[in-house]
Amino acid sequence: MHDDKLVIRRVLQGDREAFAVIVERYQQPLLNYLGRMLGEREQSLEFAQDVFMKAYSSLNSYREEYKFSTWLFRIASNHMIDFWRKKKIPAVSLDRSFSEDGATPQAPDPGPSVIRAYELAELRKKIESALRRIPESLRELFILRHVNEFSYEDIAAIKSLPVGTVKNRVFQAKEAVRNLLEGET
Amino acid sequence: MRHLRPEQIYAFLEGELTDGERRDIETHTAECAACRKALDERKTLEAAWTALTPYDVPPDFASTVMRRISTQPRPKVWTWIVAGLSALGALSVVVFGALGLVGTVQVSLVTGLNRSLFGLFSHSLVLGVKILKTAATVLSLTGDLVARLLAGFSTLILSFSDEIAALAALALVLSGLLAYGLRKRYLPGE
Repeated sequence: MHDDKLVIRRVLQGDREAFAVIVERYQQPLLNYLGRMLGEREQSLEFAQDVFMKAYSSLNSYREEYKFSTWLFRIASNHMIDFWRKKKIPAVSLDRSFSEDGATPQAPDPGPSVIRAYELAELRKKIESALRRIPESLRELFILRHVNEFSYEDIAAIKSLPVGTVKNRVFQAKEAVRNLLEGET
Repeated sequence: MRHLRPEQIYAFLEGELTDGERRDIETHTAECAACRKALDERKTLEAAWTALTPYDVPPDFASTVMRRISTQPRPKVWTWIVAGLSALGALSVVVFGALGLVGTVQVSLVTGLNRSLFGLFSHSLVLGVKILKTAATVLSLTGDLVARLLAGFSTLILSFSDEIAALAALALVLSGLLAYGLRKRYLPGE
């Protein structure tokens, strides 16, 4: 992604149109992320535009020692948090771990396989549906990891969290999704 | 070996284990039907959720963003100006508000402030002339200016009563926090 840095230098030197390269490169991953976090297509498109606008406006604060992708997703994540805060959507506490609910079994389950009933396409639909039902804080990390394919270290940079915490929450998210699927079989 | 824990299985599937740990899991799953089933199941899930359908991007999305961008100047400077002015405003409000409350030390403070600013101004002028005259004296003059600045600030600070000094320190901290907050607000990726 060194190209990003070259493009940004061009933009900062006054070539405004060069930013289109950034938009075209990141529109898909950003929409994949925002769409699943917000659940509404129109709103996701609007948010994605806002994120690009914010990124453009504050491009001079981007520091090249960091990956542009993590910087951009950090803006997107902060933008969503601001939105939820304004809408007063309560954040779900992670103090109570899923395992306390019995949602994260510590041994292989003896029952029938949760995926046996689904074909892959159907399974994806069920996963999308399950994702909407887990807490945003878990969903976000799951999406960054498995949809946007960021490394754990990149996610830690985006969310300003320790890598170990990120790994643990991604794991909790996966098991939460799996348990929701299991509940549907 | 005991049954595998789910986090071990995910770490295995994500290639995060050492060769030894991987071998242990392979050996165990070859013998344990329950763990083999758990591994297969999560392998299928991993394959499914890493291949979720991408969201459709409208063909005109990039051009819409670029159109919006073209109507806005890139605020390279104004974020700093707004943050700086806001911080200065906050500082002024707190300092002069405190002066209004305390009252009796106003004269000494303003006198000290005037003296310091005038001293700074006059010495800066002298310094400017000297710099133009000879580059060789720049270092010593800079030292002179720093000393006079320090002396000016000392005069100013000594003219403060304890209450004003405490309030000024508080105001500085508050304005710093405000400037930092505004910068975070306007430069969201930082």
